[in-house]
Amino acid sequence: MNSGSLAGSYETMNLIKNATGQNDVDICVTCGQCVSRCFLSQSYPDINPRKIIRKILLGREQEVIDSEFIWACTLCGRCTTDCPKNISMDVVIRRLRGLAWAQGKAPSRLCEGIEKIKEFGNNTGVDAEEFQETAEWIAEECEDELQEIFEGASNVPFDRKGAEILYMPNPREYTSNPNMFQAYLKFFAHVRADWTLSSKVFDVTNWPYYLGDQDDAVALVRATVNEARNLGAKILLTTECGHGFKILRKDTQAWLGESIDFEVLSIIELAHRYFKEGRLRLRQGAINKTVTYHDPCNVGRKVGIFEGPRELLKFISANFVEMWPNRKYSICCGGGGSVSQNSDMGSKRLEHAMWKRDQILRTGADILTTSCQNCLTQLGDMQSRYNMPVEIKSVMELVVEAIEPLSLP
Amino acid sequence: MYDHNNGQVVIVGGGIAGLATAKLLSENNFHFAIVERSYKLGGHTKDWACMATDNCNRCHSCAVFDYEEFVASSPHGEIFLRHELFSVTRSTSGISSVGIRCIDSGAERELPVTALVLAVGFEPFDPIEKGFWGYGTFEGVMTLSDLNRLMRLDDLNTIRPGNGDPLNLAFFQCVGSRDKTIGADYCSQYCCAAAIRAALRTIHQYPDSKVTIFYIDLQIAGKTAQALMDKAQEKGVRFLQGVPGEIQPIQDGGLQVISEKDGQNVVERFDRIVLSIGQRPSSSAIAISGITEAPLNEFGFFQTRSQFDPVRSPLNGVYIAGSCSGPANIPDVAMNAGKVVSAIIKDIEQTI
Repeated sequence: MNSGSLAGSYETMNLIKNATGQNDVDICVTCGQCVSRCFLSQSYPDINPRKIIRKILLGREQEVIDSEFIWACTLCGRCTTDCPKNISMDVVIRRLRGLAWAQGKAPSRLCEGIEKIKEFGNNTGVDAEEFQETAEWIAEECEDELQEIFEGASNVPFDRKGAEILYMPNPREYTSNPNMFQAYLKFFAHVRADWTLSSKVFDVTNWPYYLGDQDDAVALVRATVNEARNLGAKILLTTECGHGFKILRKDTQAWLGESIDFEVLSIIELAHRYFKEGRLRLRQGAINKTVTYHDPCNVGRKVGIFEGPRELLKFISANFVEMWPNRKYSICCGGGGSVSQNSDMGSKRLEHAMWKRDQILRTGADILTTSCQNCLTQLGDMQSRYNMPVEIKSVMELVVEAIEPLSLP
Repeated sequence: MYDHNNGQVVIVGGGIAGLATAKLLSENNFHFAIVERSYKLGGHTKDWACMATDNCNRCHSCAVFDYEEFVASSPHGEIFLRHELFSVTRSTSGISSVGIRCIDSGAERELPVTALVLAVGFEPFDPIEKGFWGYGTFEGVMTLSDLNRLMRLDDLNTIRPGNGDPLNLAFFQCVGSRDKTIGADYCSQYCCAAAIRAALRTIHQYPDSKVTIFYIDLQIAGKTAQALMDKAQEKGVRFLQGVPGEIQPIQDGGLQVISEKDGQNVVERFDRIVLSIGQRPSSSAIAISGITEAPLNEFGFFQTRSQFDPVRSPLNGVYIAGSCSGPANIPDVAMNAGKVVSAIIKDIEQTI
């Protein structure tokens, strides 16, 4: 018996145990539910969640650390949804990635992104001045529409102390996908939101989380929380982002070891809240198409937001249809957990997404909505790759299209 | 010696545990009264089909008929159907009387009590709680008790494919058992053997049927276990380790699952999937515990004094029979009834 490798596995097991808090992977009864729920099963026949646990227990975790699987995994958590023993596979995989990263085996593109985050505060390397200019320029591009809502709506607020809402965008909004930023600007204007951007912290994403680099992941959360406190925000509002939102919402208090005195909301939650209060007025059936909704893993399964977006979509669309499975058991788009950002994975993420593709096609929907930038990128790429006859939009884009303008006071 | 004719034991629940206890009490000259919520005796066992093929496969479901016949004709007993317990009166040594009420008329009556036996049984796990199995969503997904009902009504033909193809059936084991997420981190004890018997029974009726049992590990033991396994293997029942965690409907009306076989992930199609559902605590356990103050354990079953005293409640004068103290199969319940009655006799003789 090789006692050295067994000792190694204890270390890994302890790492995982510490990460998951209470449960240990040796509680696994090999029921195998995870195998059939993993959308990578077909593409990686030699490895699957259950085998990963076995390998760790047998002291063979290096085989897993060296495998492509841990980087193809989207941390979607679907495999261990309702795991009879409460094992969290996404936590296990992140820990294994952390070990790979420590061995210098992390994908280069992710490492570069993290360097940029450390230098500029965001993963694209845009500096504060550039960010402000870009945001203002994007607003100018839709100035007429904004000014129509109310005079001055095209002014983008920065660093406003005492604003109710601190809005935390995704870098895609000020680089590749400014349409989304414009949609949010219109939403803020319509509901007369008391909001601000920060010129210091303007990236909701958390790439160190992807790498299992816990220290840097916590540092980013701390910076965001400090900025929200500094500006005195009551709501830390995140864009339609998956992991960034999930971390701020779900992990902040545990990671920082302190409570926070502001709410963390996703913009779809705020829209739903305002809709219920009558502050956001929508035209019923305004979208005269068949609409379906893809539950992002982080927003849905991990945070539990299922019904809000559905209520909004059912109200504004002529016909709303569900995919099967949905909600908690939603199939991952295949692009989460750094897979979209990881150039080493190439186009494999699209080949891995067959389950999602088939599921979308079965609905026969005209418009596929979701509420995560990562999902949107992946679904858009899938649409062009597989010629899916479906239009892809974020929930908020569709909601903004259906807004009933308030009469001016 | 104490004249048992003076004592009356009130048994809450007329399932197989209550009936087996009543029979033994009657044989020992006790008076008994069975208080049963439903309109019939026999509980879940009554819905179970005989699993005999060319010979008896020892499911013991027929035992309930013998018990019922004996108990119904016993001169020592009274049976209150559609009645429920609503109060207890305590004495220094335990419980002196109970109040019962007719569910339909609301009429109440008081029964004197020498000993109170709780035999409220179990609740079958409802797989709707775990949506990914598609129970209640897909027609082809059923529970082991649904399958039993079909067999009992001789309706097994209704699940065969319409085009005359052989039936391709899969069983999923441990559905609602050994599951921390629903507070049921225990083995339900009866399901492995029950699924194997149901597989044999299906093949016996339709020999071209293909049956697969997806299991975690087979929790069957005892002197008849090997014979059952040998027979299953002889009849071609396929055992696959690992339970698929999801069922997808496919166009031809079948169901598709992914499982792991020889290290490879395989997609397979089945006509029907049978979920071998576990035993959860009875839905009336909480109410009965509230009325009697007999405590429940961490899982919601009735607590007993210890592993070595498995029939006495910590509350004096109260005894726990059958699966309301934890999952059990029919022979276990029958044996347990003997322990209940001997404990009652022993306790009474010690107090006089």
